[in-house]
Amino acid sequence: MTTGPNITASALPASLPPALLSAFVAPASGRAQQLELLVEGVHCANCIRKIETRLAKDPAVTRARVNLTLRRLSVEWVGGPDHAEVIGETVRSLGYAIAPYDAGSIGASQDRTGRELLRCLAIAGFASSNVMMLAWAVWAGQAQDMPASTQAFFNWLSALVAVPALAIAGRPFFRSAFGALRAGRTNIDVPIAAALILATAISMMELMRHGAHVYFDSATMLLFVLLVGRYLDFRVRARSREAIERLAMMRAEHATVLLGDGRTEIVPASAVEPGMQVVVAPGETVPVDGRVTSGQTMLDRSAVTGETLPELINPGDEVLAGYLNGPDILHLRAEKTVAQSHLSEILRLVEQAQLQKGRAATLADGLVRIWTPLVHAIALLTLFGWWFLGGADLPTALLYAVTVLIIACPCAIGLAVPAVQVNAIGGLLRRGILVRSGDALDRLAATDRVVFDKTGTLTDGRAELVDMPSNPVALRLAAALASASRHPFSRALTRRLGRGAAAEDVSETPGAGISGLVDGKPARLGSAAFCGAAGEGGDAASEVWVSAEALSPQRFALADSVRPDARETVDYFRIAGVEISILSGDRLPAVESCATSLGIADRRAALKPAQKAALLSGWKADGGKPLMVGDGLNDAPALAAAHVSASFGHGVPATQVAADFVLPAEALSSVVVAHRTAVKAAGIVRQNLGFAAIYNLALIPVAVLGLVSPLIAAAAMSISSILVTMNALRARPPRLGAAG
Amino acid sequence: MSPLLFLIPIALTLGALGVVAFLWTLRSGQYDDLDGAAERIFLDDDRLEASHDR
Repeated sequence: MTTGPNITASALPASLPPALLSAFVAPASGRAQQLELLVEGVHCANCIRKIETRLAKDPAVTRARVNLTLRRLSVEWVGGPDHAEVIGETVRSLGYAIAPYDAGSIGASQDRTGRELLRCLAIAGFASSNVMMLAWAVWAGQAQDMPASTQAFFNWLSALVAVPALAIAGRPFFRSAFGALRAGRTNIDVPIAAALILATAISMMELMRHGAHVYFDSATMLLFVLLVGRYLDFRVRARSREAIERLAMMRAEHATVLLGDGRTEIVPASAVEPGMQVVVAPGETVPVDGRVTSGQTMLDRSAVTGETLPELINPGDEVLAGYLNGPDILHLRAEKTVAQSHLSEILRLVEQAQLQKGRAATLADGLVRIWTPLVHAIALLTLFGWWFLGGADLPTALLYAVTVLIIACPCAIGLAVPAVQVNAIGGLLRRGILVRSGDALDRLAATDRVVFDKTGTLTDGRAELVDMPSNPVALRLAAALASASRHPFSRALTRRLGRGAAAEDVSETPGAGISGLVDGKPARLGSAAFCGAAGEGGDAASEVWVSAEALSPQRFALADSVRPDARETVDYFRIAGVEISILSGDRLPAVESCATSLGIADRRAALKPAQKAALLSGWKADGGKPLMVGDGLNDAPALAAAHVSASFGHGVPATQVAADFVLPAEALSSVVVAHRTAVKAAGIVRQNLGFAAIYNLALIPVAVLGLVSPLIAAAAMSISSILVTMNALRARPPRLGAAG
Repeated sequence: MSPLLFLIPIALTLGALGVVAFLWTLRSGQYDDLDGAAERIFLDDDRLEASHDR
């Protein structure tokens, strides 16, 4: 939850209460304590030096190291866990926002997977280069009468290197393939594992029989190339996932609880029990659902419901977690725990939608489903064809069958599709766009309808001045009075008019307005009734009036203004031939005016979260592929129900969990960049798969006929891998401003 | 033929040593912060590392 929709994620944690780091301290070796902190804003050697030297001055600290890649700080010290707060305060005082890092089990297993892949990659790289060197010597030797004993010696050396390397470095594939087989399914790793194992076994057999068809080089190279694809894929996904989790961790929710003896204590929001007294400071987010016991304030509900206008809250009113407090302190009694709150109900809706959605089948999945049985069938036919009809002995028939598997091994799918995704996702990541999964690009490219939320997505999500009187006296009075108040409307006036002259004797009547002395004369700023003006304007805008003795009431109009890049975004999708809709939780007039100004015909207002999700499910049931873009809590179920979805870095964490894409805060037009990249990437994937099809069509018959030698297999495999990778390099996001 | 008998195993052994060295660097966490390593060469204050990052 934000302290205002215009604040980016990096600025948020400054408001994080200090007394919470101790809970994340872990015991290190000896008497030392250890803490991992997320640090926002570190980007150069100077930041590292500032933080590390400053912490080194603390005599208790034994180790402080900044990890610039992960933007994390790891500190060890001797002493009590409480010292964590001192350390946190030190880093904060240097100007870096921090949050405790909660590794959980996901983080640790991620690290392990990454290291295992890199280790396998190193071993496979070593094996494939050395085996290839020996294989070339044998091929050259076969043409130049190398003695058979030398050839055999080289082949045995190859086996010595290749067999252990395949056994160790092939484990990620074997594990996944056997896991799938045990569950009665097949996946892309099944043919890969089959090709690796059979190629090795056949080569060993050939070696025993003193044959010439030894495929250790093909097997190790295949493994190496596939591991490169797998590792790149892992890196980009891990970075995106890490960035998304980071957004959530930087926003852990806290509550200020009022204890019986009058002291306050800051606790995690999840620790608040029903009946506890909670204090919400101005500008803070309400941590739990509850009822107001004292205090009168304006609450901003836009993050939860999508309504732009703040609501006046009195004692006895019910408030929901996620509302943003306005100008005054609010005391409330918690009525539900976080687990039972409105927020959790929304999260349950999100889960339901995700369960119903399941995993969308991607193009590559579909291909594997057809391709795997086909290749296995061809290999079997080759085996029996040669054995029974062709009159070959079993080992030779087996050899030809394995050649088919090696030639048809899915380099194009195993390497080409991840290589395209890595380029596209990595490029988007550098633009600040986080992509949850590779198949999200696939789905985005297929979008035929884009659905926008209004508040905070198409609009800024806060009131801005759109119309003001020309009378300079009115402007002067309004500026003076507005700067004395923290009401959202007053702040909008201050942003436009500046701070103005000082007003004296100011008193604010919640829900009505402000009165005070400006230049010694009484003046009023507030609702029409408060200033004695006639009637309220019934349009989408909200209004504020200013009046004084010598001044008839003058009207200021405020509205939630449309984002500057909303127009070009909507136009882009219109030109792309995509249908456009607005689904909003806000009132109809506000939605109408926004839709009209952007020229969007299909708009629906006053929708509840479940209704939004139902509409999207309906479109999907009709065969549509809607893209949902939203930032509010009320959008979360709809984001999960959509075919593909995008949220913002400034949105509530629940929306980032539900969305496939997380766009940088305040940059609606980056959805255009994402869409363009996705369309381009989908095109390249199709090209690569088409190329793979041609390659297979050309070479499989040759392999079936038993004409492929190890040399041809190796050459074909390297050439196809290189071609497909080079093609994949084109999948970067288009340059800014470039025509799509 | 006879030089091959020992030269090629020597070549393979040296290559394997390289792999072992790489695996050691991997295990000791030298690839955990590649961006940081690139920036840290600009820090000339070695005392910090010596006294506080054993």
